[in-house]
Amino acid sequence: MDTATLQQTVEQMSEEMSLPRGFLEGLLKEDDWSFVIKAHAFLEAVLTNVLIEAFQWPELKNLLVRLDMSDVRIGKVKFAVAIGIIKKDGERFLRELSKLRNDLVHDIGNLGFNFKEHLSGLDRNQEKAFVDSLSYFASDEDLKERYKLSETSCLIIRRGLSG
Amino acid sequence: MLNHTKRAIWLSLLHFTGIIYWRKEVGKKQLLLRLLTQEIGGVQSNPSLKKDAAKSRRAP
Repeated sequence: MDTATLQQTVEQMSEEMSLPRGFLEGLLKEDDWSFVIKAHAFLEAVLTNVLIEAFQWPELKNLLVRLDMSDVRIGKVKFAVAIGIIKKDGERFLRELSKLRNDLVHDIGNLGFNFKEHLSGLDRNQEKAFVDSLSYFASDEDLKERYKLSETSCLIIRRGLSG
Repeated sequence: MLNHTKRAIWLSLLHFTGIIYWRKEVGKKQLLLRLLTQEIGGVQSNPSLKKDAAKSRRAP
C-alpha cells in the first residue's frame, strides 16, 4: 500500500468512526495506561466496522459489536482471519495488545502502568514475543518512508521496545 | 524522551488500519464468491431447484 493510500484510508476511517480530529496523534501524548486502553478500543472499533462492511449484512452489527476481540474460538480476530482480512502477523499484534489491555483493565493496581517497568519484568522469551508482535509495523516499507524511518531508526525502536 | 514502545505500537496501529481497509475489499469478494459457489452448488445438487433453474433458463 502506498503512503498516500495509507494516509487516505486512515483519515477516512477516522471520519467514519466520528473520532475527534487529531485523535490518533493525541494517542502518543497519553500516559502508557491510557495509550494501551485507547489504542485497543480504536483497533477493536476498526475491526468491527470492517467486519460489518465485509459481511454486507447490517443486521449482524449488534452481534459483531458484542463479540470479544480476541476470543480464541469466536472472537472478532478469528472472523477477520477466516475471511482473509488479517494474516498471522496482524493476528499476533492484536492478540498481544489484547492480552496487555486485559491485564491492565482487570487490576486497578495497574493504573500507573508504564512500558519500561513492564518490559523489565519480562523474561527473555516473553520479551521477544512482545517485541516481535508489537513491532508489526516494521514490515511496511511505505510507512517507514512516510515517517522517515531508516533501518537504523527501526532498530532503535525495536531496541527501545526491549528496554 | 521519546517512548519507543509507544511509538512502535502506534506505527503498528497505523499499518494495521491501512492494511485492513485494503484487505476488506478482498474479504468482500471472497465472501461473495463463496456465496455464489454455494448457490450454484445448491442448484446442482437439488433436483427440483435444477428443474426450476432449467425452466428459468428457457423462459424468454
